[in-house]
Amino acid sequence: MTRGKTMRAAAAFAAALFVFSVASPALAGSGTGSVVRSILLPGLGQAHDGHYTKATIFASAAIVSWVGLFATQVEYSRTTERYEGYKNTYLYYNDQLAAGQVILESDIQATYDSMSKAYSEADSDETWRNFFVGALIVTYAVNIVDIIISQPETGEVQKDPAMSLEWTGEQMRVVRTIRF
Amino acid sequence: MRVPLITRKIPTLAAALTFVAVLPVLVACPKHEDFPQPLDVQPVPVPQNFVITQPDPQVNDYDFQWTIDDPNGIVDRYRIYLVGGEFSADELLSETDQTTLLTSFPFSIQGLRFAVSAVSSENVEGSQAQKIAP
Repeated sequence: MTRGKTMRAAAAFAAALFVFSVASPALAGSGTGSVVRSILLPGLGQAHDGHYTKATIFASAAIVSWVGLFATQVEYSRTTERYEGYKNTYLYYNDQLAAGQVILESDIQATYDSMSKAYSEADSDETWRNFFVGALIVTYAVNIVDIIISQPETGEVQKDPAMSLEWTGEQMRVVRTIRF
Repeated sequence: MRVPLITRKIPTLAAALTFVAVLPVLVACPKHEDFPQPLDVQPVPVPQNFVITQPDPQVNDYDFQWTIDDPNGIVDRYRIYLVGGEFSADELLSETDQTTLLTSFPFSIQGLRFAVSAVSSENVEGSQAQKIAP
């Protein structure tokens, strides 16, 4: 039940992201536009603000994390499914023995060994899956913080002030430079 | 600053990809937990010194004999098989609670392989001892 609720909440979140993405062009140019983009995919907001190097780094990290998460989750699901199959077979031996059915000792041992191996593999796969979940969370968090605190790149070049103060002995001069 | 068209389209594409990627991940999320306790069964001893004899060469009666080392007394009965019987599977010939079995065949069993295994009172069957009939 808890898993079902989590899945529904996550699916709703994903759907909300999708709706946001469709609506995001309407937000282009606004301050929240970059944040929304960065929520959708790290680096998009930075790209929108003109920070292309940071955008590349965040987008690469997010894509690698997503791909890693997807791949390890699929592998973890397969291993878990295999483990559950062995576990059900193993537990069913109890019922069969209780019902007077003869079971080969070698079958019981082989199933136990396979079940233990599948459990260890599932443990390992879960660790890798959690690693990519962590990487994804860190990438999104750093990305959001970055997009909130950084200023948009305007393309303007900071120029020397056209007017300056100069000290000559005990006098102060205001110098205005005019270039032709 | 004017945002290039491709940059404006990327959010939709990225979110669509995210959406497509997230759902399978969420749907396929069983967890491995509750490793079961090992079944409470005792190891079953393997019959030893399995021999097949034919008391009278003119008659297809055969005597199967074996011994068992069972200090805990967990063996309840024995199963005798013809190895590689019908459909290449082991064919159960008989069950007995003795360490000997005298049985008749309608044909000579010379060269056929037989096996005997012990079955515990918990209904767990141990490994086989095999022998080729003389």
